[in-house]
Amino acid sequence: MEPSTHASGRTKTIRSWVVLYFDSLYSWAVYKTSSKEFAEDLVQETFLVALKSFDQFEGKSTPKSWLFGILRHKITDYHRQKYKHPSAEPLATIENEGDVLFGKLFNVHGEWNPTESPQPWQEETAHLLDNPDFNKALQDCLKKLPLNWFSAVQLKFLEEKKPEQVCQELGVTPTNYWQIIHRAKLQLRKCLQINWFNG
Amino acid sequence: MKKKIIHLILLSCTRATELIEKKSLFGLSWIERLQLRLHTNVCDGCTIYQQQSILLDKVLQARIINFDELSLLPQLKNEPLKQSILLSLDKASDD
Repeated sequence: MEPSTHASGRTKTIRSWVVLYFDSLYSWAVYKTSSKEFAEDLVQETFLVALKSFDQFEGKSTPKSWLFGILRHKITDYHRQKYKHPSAEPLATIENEGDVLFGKLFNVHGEWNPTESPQPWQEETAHLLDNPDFNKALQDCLKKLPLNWFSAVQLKFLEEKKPEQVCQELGVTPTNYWQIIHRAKLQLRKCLQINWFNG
Repeated sequence: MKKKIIHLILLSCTRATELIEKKSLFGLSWIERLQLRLHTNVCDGCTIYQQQSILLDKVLQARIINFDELSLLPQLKNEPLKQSILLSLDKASDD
């Protein structure tokens, strides 16, 4: 009867973690995927993995950071897939959004259009990091990115591997990757300029 | 024509901002570094872009490493899902 007692002890522990950490994990998953539906799946899978690989939890980290580590892997996988197959939006549409963006920001010589040239942000960096309103504005601007641009940006910061390796594993060229990041950052910066700094 | 020559040496802003993003991922060759420096020396827009791009990277990076962005954004709830996970765990421990 030993194994079954052991198993139910494990289930009890995981149960207490669900009670304690579900809300944080779920919130983080929603913010990182911008999708409640996918966040639900990823958090569910996280607890499933935790239950299955409970023996690997050695108490070296806190339960919370262990769970967030599992979730981080799940979210990274999710963005790898979205980056490669942004199913909701056809690639041609996204390509077109890139062209429209460049057309707005730059003139035919590739110089900033006078109204679009970046203006200084009059705010201390340190304050920005701790400002909930700025974080909300950033979150909203991230959400407005086309799906695979959003995933590219998320991957840049979620991945623990070097970008070269990430590209190799994804089967995309580095050029493809940085060009998408380039578009995403141009749009993100513009969005923040309008919604936060001028707003 | 003059503009073309200038862009060949000094890059266009499109290309300069592209190199700024490339730099943060893969680094640049010495010639690209030189071109970018020459460009930002004379272009205020791209100089500001570079500062803000680095700032955005810092903010996004900080939000990943510690999960503290959660304290900066409203906590979301999903009671039905939470309860359903708890229920399935209870079932599993009954077996």
